[in-house]
Amino acid sequence: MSARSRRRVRTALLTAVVAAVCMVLVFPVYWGFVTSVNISGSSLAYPPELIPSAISFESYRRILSGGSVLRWFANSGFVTLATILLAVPVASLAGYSMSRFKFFGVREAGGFLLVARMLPSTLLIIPIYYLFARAGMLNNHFALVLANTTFILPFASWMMKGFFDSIPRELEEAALIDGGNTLTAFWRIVIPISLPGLAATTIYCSILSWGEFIFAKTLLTGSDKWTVPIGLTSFVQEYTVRWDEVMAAALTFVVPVILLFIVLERYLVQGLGSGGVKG
Amino acid sequence: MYTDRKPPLLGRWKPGLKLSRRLTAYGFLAPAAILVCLIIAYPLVVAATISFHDIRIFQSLSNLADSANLENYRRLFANDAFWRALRTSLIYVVVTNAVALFIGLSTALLLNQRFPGRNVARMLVMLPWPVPGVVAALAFTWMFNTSFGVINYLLLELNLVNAPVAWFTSTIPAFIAVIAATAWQGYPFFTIMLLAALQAIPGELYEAASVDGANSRQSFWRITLPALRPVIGISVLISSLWVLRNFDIIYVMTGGGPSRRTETLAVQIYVESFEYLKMGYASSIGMVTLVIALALAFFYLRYIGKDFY
Repeated sequence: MSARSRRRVRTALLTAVVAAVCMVLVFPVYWGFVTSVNISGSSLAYPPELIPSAISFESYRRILSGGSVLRWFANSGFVTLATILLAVPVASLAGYSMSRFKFFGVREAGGFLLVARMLPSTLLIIPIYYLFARAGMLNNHFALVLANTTFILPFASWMMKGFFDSIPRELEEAALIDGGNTLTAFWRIVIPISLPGLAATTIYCSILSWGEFIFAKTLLTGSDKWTVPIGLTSFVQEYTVRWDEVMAAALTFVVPVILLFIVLERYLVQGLGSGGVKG
Repeated sequence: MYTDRKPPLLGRWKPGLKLSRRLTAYGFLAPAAILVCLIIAYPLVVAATISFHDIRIFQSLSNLADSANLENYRRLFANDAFWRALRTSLIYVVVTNAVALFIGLSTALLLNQRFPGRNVARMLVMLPWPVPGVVAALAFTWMFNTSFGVINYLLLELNLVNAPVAWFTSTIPAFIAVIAATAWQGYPFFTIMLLAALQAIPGELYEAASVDGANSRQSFWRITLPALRPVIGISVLISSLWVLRNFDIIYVMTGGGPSRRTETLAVQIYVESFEYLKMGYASSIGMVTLVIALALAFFYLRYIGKDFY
């Protein structure tokens, strides 16, 4: 066999292996989709059809016409939006401080932030519950926004620090020589250059906040305040589970995150470099 | 990146403004510091405090009935349930990481090759990364459903089992289901980290090796793996901390069952506090978990310290 045809066989084999691996790895999402578009309306049919012969979006219609699911989506949207509006500016400031001023206090704060994101949240939820109960803030979206923000801050600050580290200081020097102060240099020069980094951090914060479970579960007691993850689990606690509807709601819930992820993906390696990003 | 050789740049032209520079630094940090103190540091102190008291329900912390004592810790270390949870956590962390690292390394090596449609493949491989834990848990709960689940269907069709496996009513099958879901959510992290590391290995190394007559297996063991070792180490550490803290997947899939056999430390803290309402006792489990997490974090900080500060 010539070298060229050997290479061709190798590429074909490789592509086949990759395709098989992708099929296995994506299968849980695929299966969720197949379940959600099941024509019989009930997923409890046996044997299951691996490739559906006919599909129907009836379960989506039922899910989205029921008031409670829409309500949970609105709650999730509000909490996520408020969280990023609070977390991203605060994290940018902290990240900038950590990137540019490396003296006593700032270094230690940076170290504490690194440790903070490794703490078990099931431990912290006990005193946090106390704290918000005493403040009369149980079943309150702002309590959840505060808790989410604080848990996202360590990741987001370090991510922003990584982006700021890659911006040459000479740019700010010029602004400072021209008589500006650090704040104007930060606002006028650093922020515009860091827009891609800000976007990546925003997306990352959205993904974390959108899927957050334990704080929402503990702090939000009334079903009208629930976010989608809590609502989804309540479906499964019912006696008969409508898996087609559960999967329809779950997939609708996941679509925005996956779209955001596709935008984020190329920045992800950079963000990971700045201290290992993992929810 | 900052090195000690450079003098601090921002202070150079305004030597008189050292204090203002300091204030700017602290001012920028202040909002984050306030939030973190309020929602992480202060609760940590409260958790440590209540771990020394017998608190059964949500009661006021200002008038505690007992003085600080080690009773919770004494009961904890005498309790089989705690040791079982510790062991469960250990198995969960080790097995999940092993599976996730294996998938992550394999996919990273595949994605590092040249083939048509590589960008699409990369996107598909990394797809589970942003999927929320609850969704992963529900998808796997459904797949592992005993009567209607697709896993049992495939196992029966392929004649790997004679009767449907009751996944959630015995220990090891329940463990398999939970670990499958966690590893599925966790492997893309390894793929991302290892793929970046692979792409940083200079191609000349492989060329030189093949000139010297090395085959691709030798290249893998002698070049690729040694180059990946530091990244594998740090990724396993970060991932371990993540699995140790993981709560939603086990809680949603098994609730710690059957008969608390898949109850990790993270889940046990929650069950003891919010289901049995033993807040003091739960906090003492939490403090032990915290010590384990901090021990892991210590190694992480030592590694990061070299690079980032």
